[in-house]
Amino acid sequence: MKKIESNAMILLSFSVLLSACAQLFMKVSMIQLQLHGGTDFGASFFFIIFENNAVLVWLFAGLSCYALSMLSWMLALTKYELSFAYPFLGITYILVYLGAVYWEQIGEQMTWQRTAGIILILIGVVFVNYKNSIKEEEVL
Amino acid sequence: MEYALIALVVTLTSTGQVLQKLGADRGLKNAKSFSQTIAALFQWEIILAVICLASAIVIWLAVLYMMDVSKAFPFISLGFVVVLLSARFYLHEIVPWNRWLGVVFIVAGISLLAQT
Repeated sequence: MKKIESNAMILLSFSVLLSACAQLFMKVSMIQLQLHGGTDFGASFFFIIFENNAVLVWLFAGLSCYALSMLSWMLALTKYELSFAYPFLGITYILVYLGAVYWEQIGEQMTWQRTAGIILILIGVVFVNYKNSIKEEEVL
Repeated sequence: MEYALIALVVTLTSTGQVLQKLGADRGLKNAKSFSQTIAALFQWEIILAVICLASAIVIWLAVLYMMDVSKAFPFISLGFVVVLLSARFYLHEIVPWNRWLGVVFIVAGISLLAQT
């Protein structure tokens, strides 16, 4: 039983890490698309995507991470309830923020509004998913 | 435009998440071998979830094309608000106070983010 629990925790951590990587890789891919395409997403996307390796490679990396994170998330959900698992996904917001700021190719600004906003959202996600009483379980 | 696309992504991902959970509960939980696990991935709930999430991701790429990822990504947490509101006003469930408090925090966080 202990073994299963720790395996599920590893799956959950993987899922968080992979979903943050997915966001960052997809953003890098879209930055490449902007560099090589025009100002319009639709036109750029379908004409440039298969002509530019950087766009395609980062997109593939991002989508693979996304698919793997979804798979490990589902497997983790067979062991944990959503109310326990969801707050962990909140960690993804922090990882994406730090990655977007410190990864030079993305290079987004760190501002106090953004930091405070993300912290508030994180607190909110924990509160939304917190199971507060036995009564509630009876209702549900 | 960006915000309308985000709203669409939030709707599609929340639907996809619920379907994933339904699928995981029905099939994956009881899968005892590798082949049973693979078979469990092809139930209609999971297939529909994949369709929702696949279309969400193409729209999401358009959002990332237009916006900072550190700004756009936390907007996904609006999914919790959508699910909670539909639980209260559509399914008429009793929603405990801590969840409403969470929604207040999320909405406050989103409005700060929207200003950046």
